[in-house]
Amino acid sequence: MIKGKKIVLEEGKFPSVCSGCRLCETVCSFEHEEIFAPWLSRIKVVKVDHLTDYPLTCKLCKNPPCKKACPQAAISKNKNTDALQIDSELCIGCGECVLACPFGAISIPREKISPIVCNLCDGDPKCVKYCPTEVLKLKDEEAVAKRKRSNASVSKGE
Amino acid sequence: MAFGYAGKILRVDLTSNKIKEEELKEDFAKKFIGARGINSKILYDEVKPGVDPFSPENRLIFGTGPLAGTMLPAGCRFTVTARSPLTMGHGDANAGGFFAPELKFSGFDHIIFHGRSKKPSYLFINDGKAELRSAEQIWGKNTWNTQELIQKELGDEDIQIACIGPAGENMVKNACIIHGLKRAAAKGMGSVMGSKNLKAVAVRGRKGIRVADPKEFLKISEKILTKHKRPDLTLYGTPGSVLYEVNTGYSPATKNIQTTRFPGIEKISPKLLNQKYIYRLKACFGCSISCGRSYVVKHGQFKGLYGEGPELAAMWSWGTQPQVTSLPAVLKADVLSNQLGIDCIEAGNTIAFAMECYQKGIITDEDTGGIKLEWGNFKAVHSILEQMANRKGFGEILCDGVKDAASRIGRGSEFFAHTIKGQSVPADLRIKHGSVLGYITSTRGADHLRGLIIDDVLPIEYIKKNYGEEALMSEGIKGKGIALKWIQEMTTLPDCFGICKIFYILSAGYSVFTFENFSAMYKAATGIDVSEKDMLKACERVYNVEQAFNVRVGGFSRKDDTVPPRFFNEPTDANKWKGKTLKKENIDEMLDDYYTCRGWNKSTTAPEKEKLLELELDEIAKDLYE
Repeated sequence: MIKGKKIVLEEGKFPSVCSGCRLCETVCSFEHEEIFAPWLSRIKVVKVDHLTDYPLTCKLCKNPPCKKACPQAAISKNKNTDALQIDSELCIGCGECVLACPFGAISIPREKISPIVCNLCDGDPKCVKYCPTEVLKLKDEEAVAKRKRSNASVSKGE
Repeated sequence: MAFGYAGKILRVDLTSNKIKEEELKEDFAKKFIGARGINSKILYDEVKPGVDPFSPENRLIFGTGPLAGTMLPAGCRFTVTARSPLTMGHGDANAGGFFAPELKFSGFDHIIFHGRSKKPSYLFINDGKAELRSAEQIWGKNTWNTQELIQKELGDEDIQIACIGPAGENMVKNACIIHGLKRAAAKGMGSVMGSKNLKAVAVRGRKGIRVADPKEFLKISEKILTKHKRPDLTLYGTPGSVLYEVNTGYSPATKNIQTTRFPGIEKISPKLLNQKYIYRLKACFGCSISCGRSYVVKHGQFKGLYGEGPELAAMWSWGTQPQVTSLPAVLKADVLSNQLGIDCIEAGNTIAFAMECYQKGIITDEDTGGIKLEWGNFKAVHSILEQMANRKGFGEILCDGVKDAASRIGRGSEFFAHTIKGQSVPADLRIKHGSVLGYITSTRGADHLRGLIIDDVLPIEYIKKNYGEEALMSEGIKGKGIALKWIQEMTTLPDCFGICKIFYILSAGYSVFTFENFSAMYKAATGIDVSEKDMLKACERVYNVEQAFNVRVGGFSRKDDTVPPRFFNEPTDANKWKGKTLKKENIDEMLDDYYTCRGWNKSTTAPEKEKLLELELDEIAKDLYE
């Protein structure tokens, strides 16, 4: 079941961390555009500082600000995956969605007219599949919270 | 050249400020593959005998290969090539990070610099357009600040930069080119860049890379990404080999190779490094192993220090060689060398050499200006590093590498100046016949990466099967020549593809990837069909071009293919081989065999005419034999 799941970064003890290799960006652009061009990736690795990298993609908001901001109602949710989909016939490329997203997860690269955004590769996200340190995961956020609750309870008990 | 390659070479004349684009032709690419291979041929063609490394006529060539910037893991490598001021022969160095992919995204596979800029300048390539810009504001800045200032000036923090620090500016032969916090291209390339008044090369672009057969390319990449893992290398990085070397009876160079014993080595162990200082992973572009890490020092004298690495070579140079037992001090030296743009191997060996001079009373406080060059004195290491980069104080004597330092100091110090063709040796080579042969026949002087160990530490099945058991034994002789030739060809290929040798050769123990695999990768990426046999031949061709340069321009012959005298005269104290030295006659026997396998003349070491013609290097045959 893919519905309700999203791409999350779940790091653990070293070396189970994002290595900043940007393979997720590379494979994403290849999957969607058949070209190695990280700027066309739907997932972006943010350089937080010299030593820390943070991969960021669509959070699959329940009430997406991008959808609300679209004057053409070109953004909808995919029935199977809950990921966003953009109707390029309706889209006018105004960029309101880009401005509305609090994460910068949706973008219009200058090569494009319509925005690009993660579609979860229709349920089999390649960034997750190839993440070398396996910290990118396709998960229900509640599952992450459950694990954290369990960890927190154990440490309290000691 | 629609696939794999960017398809263009940029030619920059720094004297006249002229920039020209050239097409990378398919038949040329097919013969020399890319990156190191194409660089080497351009160097051979354009730098004639008599051209001084620091003269405007020397070339400084940046290049990357057809597989860099793709999803094939570790496609992150670029090579910088020039006539080397250290060896006076062929020089090249290779670095990872994010520069190589961005160079291709900017539209070019290679950049050839010649001439000398009147004023300090830097090159900026922005999506196919190149311009030389003034570097007067950043001249004198360290490598980290230089990159930040250029990114700020151009208003884009995603610009990738390779630059020199004060060491390169001062044409210190120990200087390297730095990209990011620590990716270094050494072998004196930084000083050649400085001699051209070129502070940095900055690249940025949005020209994506297409491959000829996307389905096949995905299949190949997927297999490597999912199957080839090295959790130990991810966990400990390249310093893990220190553990490995100690455990197997090999010893990293210590106390300038006077001994193999370093009593405090456990204080700088990879395990301790991980426990106390390693912060996160820090991989190069697209690498699924990530031997790169970052570190932070949280307490003590060096509180607040951060950097990337440290690599194995830094552990040798700032730890085992000077016998420094404080990890934060090792890390401090690592940061200093990266910021100043000093090659850690050459500089570390020079400091260890000076420490031995000091130990033996050949130099005193009077020579060093009061710096106590005692074993373990990390403050001395840090001070000398600063002095070297700025050609100040005793650093002036040491800054041009071990060979020049020994000739400046004299007084018998030449005996423990361990160099091969002017490049210093970072390891105890006694009794390791395979490594010795690899070091002395490497086309860029003493080097641990051209002819990586073929002694009994790596049970390479292919060699055992094809060249016999003895080829793998440390004290063996038979089969070493042909085995080394194969190894040298194999280590050439990743350099030409623009992919990482640590990933495809070292971490794979020469066994995971074959020439068949490599030729399939190349075909899927470029659409150019080069058979397994022809791929091997292309590598042999590249090695012969470099050797021809060494003979013709470097003036090398058989007498230069030898080890430092200490290895013949002073027995090792390594447990396994205690009391033994290398024997001249053994080396000679191996060399004869090696030259025969290579088709090189046994006294001049020049490739024989027939060999050159076989490799379709007719123009080189003409140079050497007509």
